[in-house]
Amino acid sequence: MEGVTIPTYDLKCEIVNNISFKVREKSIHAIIGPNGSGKSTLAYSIMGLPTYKISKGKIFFDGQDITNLNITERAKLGITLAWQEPARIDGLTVLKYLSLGMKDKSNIIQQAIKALKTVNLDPERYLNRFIDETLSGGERKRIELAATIAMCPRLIVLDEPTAGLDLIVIEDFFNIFNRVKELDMTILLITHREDIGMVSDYATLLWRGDAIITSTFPEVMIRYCAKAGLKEYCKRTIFQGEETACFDEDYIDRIFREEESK
Amino acid sequence: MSNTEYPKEILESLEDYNINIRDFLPGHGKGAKLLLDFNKIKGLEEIDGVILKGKEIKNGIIADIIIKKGVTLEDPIHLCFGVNKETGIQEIFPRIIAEDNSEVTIQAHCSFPKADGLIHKMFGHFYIGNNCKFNYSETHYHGEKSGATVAPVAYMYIGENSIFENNFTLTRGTVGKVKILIDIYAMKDSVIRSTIKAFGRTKNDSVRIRDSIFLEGENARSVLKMKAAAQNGGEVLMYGVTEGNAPKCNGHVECNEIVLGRGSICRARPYIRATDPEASVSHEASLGRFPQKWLDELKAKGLTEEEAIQTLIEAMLGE
Amino acid sequence: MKENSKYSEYRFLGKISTDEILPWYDFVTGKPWDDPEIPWVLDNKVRRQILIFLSNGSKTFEEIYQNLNFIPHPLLINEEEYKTKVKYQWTDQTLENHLLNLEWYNLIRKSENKYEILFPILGLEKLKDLDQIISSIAYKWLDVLKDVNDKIKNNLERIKIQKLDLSRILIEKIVEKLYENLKKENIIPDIPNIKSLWAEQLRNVKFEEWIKNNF
Repeated sequence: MEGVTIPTYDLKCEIVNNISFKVREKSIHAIIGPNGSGKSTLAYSIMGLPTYKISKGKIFFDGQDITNLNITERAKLGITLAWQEPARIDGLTVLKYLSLGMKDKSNIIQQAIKALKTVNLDPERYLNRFIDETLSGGERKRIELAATIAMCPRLIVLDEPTAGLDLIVIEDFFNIFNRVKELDMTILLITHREDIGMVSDYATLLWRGDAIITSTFPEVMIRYCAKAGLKEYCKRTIFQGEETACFDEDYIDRIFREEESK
Repeated sequence: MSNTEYPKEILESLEDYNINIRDFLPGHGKGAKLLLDFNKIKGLEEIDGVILKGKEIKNGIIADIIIKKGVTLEDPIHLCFGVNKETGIQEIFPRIIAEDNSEVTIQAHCSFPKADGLIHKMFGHFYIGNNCKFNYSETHYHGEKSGATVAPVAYMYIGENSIFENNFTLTRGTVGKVKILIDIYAMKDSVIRSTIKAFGRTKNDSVRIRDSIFLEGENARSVLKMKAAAQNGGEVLMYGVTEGNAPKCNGHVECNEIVLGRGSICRARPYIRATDPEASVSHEASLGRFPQKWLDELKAKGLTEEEAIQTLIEAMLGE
Repeated sequence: MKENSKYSEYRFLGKISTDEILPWYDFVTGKPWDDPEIPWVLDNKVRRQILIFLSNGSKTFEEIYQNLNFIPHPLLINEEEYKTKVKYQWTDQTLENHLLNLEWYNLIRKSENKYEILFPILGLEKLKDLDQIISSIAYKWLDVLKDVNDKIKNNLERIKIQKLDLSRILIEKIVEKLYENLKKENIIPDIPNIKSLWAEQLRNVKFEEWIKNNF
């Protein structure tokens, strides 16, 4: 994304302003930030939804300017979105739904079974079910993820994949993320949950529509906490993982002081 | 009896509905069967537990189908009322009686593949006894010229503690002019599920359906779903009536119609009424287009807008 | 004077004219859009059966209850071949709901412990005779209307109404007006249209007779 600004539908104000960042191929890149910072807006504009049109800037995918392409064209390039609240459509089976985006239609069932197993759903129980109100929230989200995986896309945008789910299901999602990582896809993970963001390699912090920093996840996390004034929380969260061992308390204190002086 | 004795054009449309043609042919499978070509009975097969009597009349048939008390039929009863001509008037008078404690599925198909000025009238009565499970599916095919005028009328009475499932589907080929009236009277503890699906594809197609469910017995329950699409100037009008006349009865009417293309007209009139203070009746209706979110979700899978709409139509109408 | 609020800009500031003709409600004739000619009450066959039963004379609740059941018979198969064993009986609670509903619409009345119908339903045996009377009078009126039709056409030419053929619509309007006036003059009763009951009985009996005569 280069200098991207996205206004509200009535053009009265800007939801995100002059955002620039790069997503590395085959990485997991998180977009984190508080509620209302513009994360989902960014996700929808990447997918090309008409109500989230860019007023300034450009979006590039693999070197190609996709700013003016519509949803279908972007999907055919290999971009897809797993929705925060996926629709429930009476009469549409899981198998049919998973097959919609498959490039190779010759062995739909096999591909569907593989996708369902990746998200820990038993294919025998789910292939012929309808994606309607009879599915729980967790089941519907997993099927949504399976559908995106079945497309073999190059970029999956996951919009709040764990929203509305309980801890047990969330734990399961960590396992699923790890499996998806092995499929060599690039993932753009939209989340307001810092614990979920920890699966990512890189992150961008959005704050009131502005991109504050793009860096490794721990670095971004420190900056996030500094802006929010959550020093103790920051220290508790940051030192959980081995990869954050290079950060010490002095560094965190310094970043906090910088924010306070602004 | 081989396929050649019964006009294959009448049966071919069954394949559009993923129904096996052979199931309808006497000598194949175990269920009872009745095949009519205009006013000639071309095939009739009875089995134990079922009395099937048909009488040819000038323009059609009168038929009695009785499922005896306590009989559970493993295989469906197959009925095919077809006309392999362009014009004419066919009149059908079926009377179906399912006695207490019986379980039966009836698969009926009405096919007019060459219809171009053809009129089909049906006046049917269904009497379902107590503690029954009765499943009635009717599929229609009216050819490709919008040349059929079809007017079935059915009165159905569902006994105590019985489960009645009614499915009417007219989603293949053109429609012509269709006016359907179904009145269902539900007695105590009965459960009614009625689903109507229709697709008016051309500007000469007009579908008008009135399905009324009267909940006459305590704790009777019903769900009425009416789904339709009108395309290229077609017209659909659905009346879904549910009346709660007994204590603790519960009924729901749902109308969903999709307008495709300019000039198409969809109208829904869900009527709900209650005369008992303990009755509970509800309705919902939606007309017009599919929710944009659904379309965007499917487009994000790589479908074009047209493909997304087609997928949703297929899902809605079960095509 | 209303206070100002955040919705002030949504207030209509123009002049509301009530002199305009409003197509959806005719204040002059007072025909309400929510009261169809055949009330929904008669949609239900059970209520129609109650009315037909009461046409034989006033009845108690118990008598109506005893009558509100039936055993269906096949069309072709006679009792010697097979006697069907399905029976439907309506409960007293449901019957009470139907009777209250018919009372509300002034189609029946409870007098002491009996229900009586408040409008005539003719026995079918009289139908053929009455059919003849109806037809002969109707044909006479048809001749009158044919004359009127010519007068309408002449008048329209004189007034020079645009090319659309109004004469047929006007004939229908005249018949409607006639129907209204007949009710005002009390020549016909001003109650819900009961023609549907007659048709219901007629269709039922004609169908049964046709079966009997042909098979």
